[in-house]
Amino acid sequence: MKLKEKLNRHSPNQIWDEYCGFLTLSLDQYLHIQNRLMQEQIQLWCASALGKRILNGAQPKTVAEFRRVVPLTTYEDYADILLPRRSELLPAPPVTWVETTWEGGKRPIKAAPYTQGMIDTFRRNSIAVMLLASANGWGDFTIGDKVLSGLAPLPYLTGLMGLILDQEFQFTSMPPRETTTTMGFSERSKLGFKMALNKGIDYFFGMGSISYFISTQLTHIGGGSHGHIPLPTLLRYARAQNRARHENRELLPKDLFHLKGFVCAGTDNARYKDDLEHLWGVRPMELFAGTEATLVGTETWNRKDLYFFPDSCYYEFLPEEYIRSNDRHLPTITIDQVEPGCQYELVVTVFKGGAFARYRTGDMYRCMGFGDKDDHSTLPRFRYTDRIPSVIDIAGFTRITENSISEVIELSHLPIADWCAAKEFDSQTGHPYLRMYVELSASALTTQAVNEEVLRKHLEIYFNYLDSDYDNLKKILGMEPLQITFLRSGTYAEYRRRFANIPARINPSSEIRRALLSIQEDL
Amino acid sequence: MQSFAFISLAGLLIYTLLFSIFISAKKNRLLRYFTLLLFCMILWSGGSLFMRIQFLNATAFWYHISLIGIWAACLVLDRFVILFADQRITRVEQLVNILVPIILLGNCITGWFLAPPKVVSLPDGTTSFVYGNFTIGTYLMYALLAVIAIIILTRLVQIARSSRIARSQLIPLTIGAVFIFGGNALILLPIFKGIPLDMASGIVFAFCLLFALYYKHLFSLTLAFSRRTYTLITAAILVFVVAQCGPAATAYLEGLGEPIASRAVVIIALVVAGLSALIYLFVSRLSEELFLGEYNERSSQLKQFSDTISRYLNEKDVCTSYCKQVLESLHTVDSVRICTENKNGSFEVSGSTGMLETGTVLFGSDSAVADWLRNHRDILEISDFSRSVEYRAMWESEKLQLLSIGADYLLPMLDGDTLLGIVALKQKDPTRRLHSDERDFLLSLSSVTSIALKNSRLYEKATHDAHTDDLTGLLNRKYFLEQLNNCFSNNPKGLLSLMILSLDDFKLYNQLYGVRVGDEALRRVAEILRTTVGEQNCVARYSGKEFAILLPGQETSTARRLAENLRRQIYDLNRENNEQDGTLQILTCSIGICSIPFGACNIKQLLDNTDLAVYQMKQRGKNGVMVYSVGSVSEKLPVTKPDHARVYSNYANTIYALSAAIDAKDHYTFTHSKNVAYYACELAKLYGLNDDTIEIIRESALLHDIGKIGIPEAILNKPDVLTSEEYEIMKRHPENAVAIIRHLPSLDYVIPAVLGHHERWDGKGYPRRLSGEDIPLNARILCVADCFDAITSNRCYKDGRPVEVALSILENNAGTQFDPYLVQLFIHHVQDGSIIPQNRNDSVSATV
Repeated sequence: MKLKEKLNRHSPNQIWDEYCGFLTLSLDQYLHIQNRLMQEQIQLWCASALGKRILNGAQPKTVAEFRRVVPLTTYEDYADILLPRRSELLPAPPVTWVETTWEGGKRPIKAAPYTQGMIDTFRRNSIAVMLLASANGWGDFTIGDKVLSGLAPLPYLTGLMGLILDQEFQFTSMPPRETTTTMGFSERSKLGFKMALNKGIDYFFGMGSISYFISTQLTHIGGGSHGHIPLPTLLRYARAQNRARHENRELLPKDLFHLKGFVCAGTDNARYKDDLEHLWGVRPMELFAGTEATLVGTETWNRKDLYFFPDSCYYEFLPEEYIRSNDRHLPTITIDQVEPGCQYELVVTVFKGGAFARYRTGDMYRCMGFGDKDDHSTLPRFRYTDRIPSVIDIAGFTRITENSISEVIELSHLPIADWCAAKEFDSQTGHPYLRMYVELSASALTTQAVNEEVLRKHLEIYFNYLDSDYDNLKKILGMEPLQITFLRSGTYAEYRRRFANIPARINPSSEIRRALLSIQEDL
Repeated sequence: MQSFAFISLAGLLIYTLLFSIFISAKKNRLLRYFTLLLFCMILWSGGSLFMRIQFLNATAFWYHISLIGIWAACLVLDRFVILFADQRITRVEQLVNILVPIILLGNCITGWFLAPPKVVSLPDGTTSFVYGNFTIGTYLMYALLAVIAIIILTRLVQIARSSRIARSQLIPLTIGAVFIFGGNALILLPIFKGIPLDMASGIVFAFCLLFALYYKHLFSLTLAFSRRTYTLITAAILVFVVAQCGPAATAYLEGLGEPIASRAVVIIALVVAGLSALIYLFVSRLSEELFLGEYNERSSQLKQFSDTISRYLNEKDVCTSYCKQVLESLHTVDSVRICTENKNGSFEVSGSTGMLETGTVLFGSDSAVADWLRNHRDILEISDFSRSVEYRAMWESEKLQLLSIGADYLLPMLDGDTLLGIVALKQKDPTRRLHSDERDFLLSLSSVTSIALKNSRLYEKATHDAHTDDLTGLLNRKYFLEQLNNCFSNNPKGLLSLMILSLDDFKLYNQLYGVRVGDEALRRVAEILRTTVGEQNCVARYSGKEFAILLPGQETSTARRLAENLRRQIYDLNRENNEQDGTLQILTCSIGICSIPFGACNIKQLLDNTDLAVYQMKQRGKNGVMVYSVGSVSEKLPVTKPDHARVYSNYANTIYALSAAIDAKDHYTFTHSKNVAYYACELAKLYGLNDDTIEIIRESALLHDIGKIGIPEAILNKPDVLTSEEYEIMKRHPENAVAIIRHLPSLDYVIPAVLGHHERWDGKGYPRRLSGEDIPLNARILCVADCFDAITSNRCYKDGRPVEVALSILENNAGTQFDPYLVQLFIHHVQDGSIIPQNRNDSVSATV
């Protein structure tokens, strides 16, 4: 039965309990669900060719045995089976495949199989997100049917969510879903906004960064429209203008629309939430999903912390001190063993015949405590902190690694002797960007004309070449994602001499970066 | 009574009746609000009635009671609707909840909103109640009432528009609300002045609510129909009739003159008494015929079923009977399947309305469905379950299974907190929900069946226990003999083979490896027998170490082949044991076979001759199969108790030969054995052991290294330190010794000491890694004696060490390698000269 039909047949409380009732589970009940579904997954996964290859002859029967014998995995462990989509080797037949970017260049995409069971769970949990986003308190939700969408289309996971919610409720998607493949981002934004002006918006779904960009452009897009404008649109616009004028400020989306729910996904959302709340008058509620891990968690109506869904994956947590290690047998803890205040990398085993087992997601979460009275929950609460330090993710668009930057430098033939790169945040807006600390080779300084602009342009050409999402950062978000800091020749050598170690190429700590800047002044 | 007061009276009686029914019933929140609503209606109608009859001349008081009743009823009705439709209270309603009590209090004090009516006596003797003119307060009050009415009606309309299920449930509620508010609005019209339309509409309203609750399956009609209710209804009718007709009847009787006039009261009392009996009879018969026919029929079916099912002692019969009963009683049910818990804890079909499903496992022991039924102890509606949190724990395969069952409802069969079974019900019309009466009936039926199921299981278990052996799970001797007799008496001229399988040296096996290992060996042998012999035949544990196998219709040669197969499998257990823990565990069996009519004519002969065959096999070296045929097996000889000395002397030559053979290989061993025998016997004497035991220890000491005959000479006489592989070979000599000794019948009593003389007190010895007092005492004594002699004597790889050094080594290793008490005893007596060292390498020997 679809949600639309359920709304006719069942009371709001029944619907709330069905989708959001997991919040009231005790930790024991939660673990019971986790362990039970894990038992099913152990059977399926261990019997598959994929599982047998990783298990290397071991035959775990219990969850504890499984955790002992299965190593921590990364996408490399699955790539030769998943990229050619060899369904026959998987634990259960997939009904669809979802993609995401990997590292660009040599390894452009990652593909993940989704079974029917995974889709069903994804559906149930997506609806839970929708209800929670529109709720003002426990069970106090309203459902609307007009969605302004800033989500990427299929084969991305966000596209699957759009499709599933549409099947469940027959939303009026703005812009219509069928346009997502034929129109550019800007055109789609314009069309979506025009439709929204006519019909209004109940929900706004999008990545934090994209939502912010759309929001800032919204009022300007509308102002430039020509031709026939329907009366309701004019009235809405007039009312909004009047309100903005009355409060002596520019027109904002909140003057035009009253949102029932606002959902954002992706990384760096924390950097955009305040701005989005200012623009829309509603604080976005964050959901947590990954192509490999599926939809794993959601915030609730109070927009504080997230809870993990009990039936998406089996969750393990890799303590912070092991995050930079590539050892495949690091100690992990389970969800009942996390400690408030500690930060962990999430390790998942996808339920319902999913391919990934003990998979390092590369996402870091901090445990904020157990339970919240407002949420009627005693489960552990988490907050997303960032990607793991070896990956730089800018606004949820890119996954820049040491490999990818090395490849860019190699292709560009720039005379870069040494470098490191870190994700930093704009002091004004708080928005993220990539900063490279570059030392040019001493010999090239006399023969080549290189300044910051030349270097940036050069590097960007190859970043774009290797990773189309990098290009989108500029095109879609209109931001300048790369900043360069030149270091004097010999800075890295001096650093190594002084500190007797090599700074990490990706996301070295702020102390190291300060030390590099300080050393070059001393040289 | 004044005109129209009867409406108030009727209202009051109906509300009181309903209130009395619900006040004592088990209630949920909705029924509690309904009961509260009835109470408000009682205040309302009671106040109105007493005001109209000017009870206690307190018109104003009864007026205010009535007014409080009506307002409170409105507020409670609002909450009732909210709860009924599973909604939340709005802020406007919260405000109204505050305003109404303030207005009522203000009105009680000032009468500003709606003052009590004035009582006016009319010329015809009747009384009229004249209300004052409407003031702003009155309009305000009615406006507020209108607000509440609009809120309730709007809510009802909204719900009805959003949900078609809710719409049908809300129809009676909406009709009731229209009546109550309509009735109250109509009395404002002059045409209805003086007529208590509010009261009349209240009665309709109460019945609408009652119907709404019934329609939502929140109460059963059986609640309304009981003797107490009949009595109350009778009383209400009587009060009503007497109130209406009493004065007129009295006046009529008094008008008839004497003697009737003076007896009017008695006559009326008699009439009332007769009338009450008639009314009671009428009400009870009518309600039972109209409303309780189905209920009574089900009660009778339940009773009959309970009687029938309690007689069944077989689980299958209980289950089949249950399924049949459900189909007979509930015509809306299409099919029933009952699953009971099997040995693995899963739930498999034990009975169904279809015949081909028995044995299919439908639910796992820890399935989410079983958990739900255990926790909720109620009927599970599948469509609801898929929306529950528990459903999240379902495996995909379980979801498919649940779907394939096609059940609409699942019922628990509980014994306390234990889930004995799960019943799957399929409705003919899947959209039709079970009525509360049907649910109650099914739960009662399940409850009765649970008891019967439990009893049948207890009976089956008791029967099983009486027929089987606890340890092996095979039939016991008593039941086996019954079966044997039955088999023979059923077919006295048919073929019948009997096999008795006796484990060889099983007492020794228990001594060597412990009773726990011995029991495990019996279980494994039993498992071999059970899986090999097949269900057509009969296997039993005949005595401690003997098993009997009855083979009806099988001739001797078949029995012999089977016996050979069994013997081989049991022998192969040794290899498994050796591979598992590296220790030698020798388990063999001797099997005797006899058949009717070839070897015996009756049961007694069959048993005796089979026994004789076993005995003969034992005598011929064990580990084999012997078939009895006349003349081939000698008669059993009487068994005498072994005399150790005599037995040893019988085998002395053999032992000497073996010792000489070792001596030829290892020149130190023979003297060493004699020395060890001396030390061990001395220590045993000092320990206080009896002569028999000392003799056993002496023989054990002489034979303790006999296993070295199997060790290569190069290892025995190696002058250097042994490699780890060589040491492993050397460590086998105690087991080698046992392998030799067990072929010397009646010398097996030395085996525990021989096998255990290299065990250590701390459990780090070999071959069995026994520790502390688990090591046989004889072996512990032998260990001390063996080590002392080994240290003090010359070997190919070392010279003998002085006695004092040897004693010091013993002392240092007491509690780790040696029994500390024995070491203390040994040292003390070496030092005081009671034990004389046999090797003269020491300085101490010269001094002691």
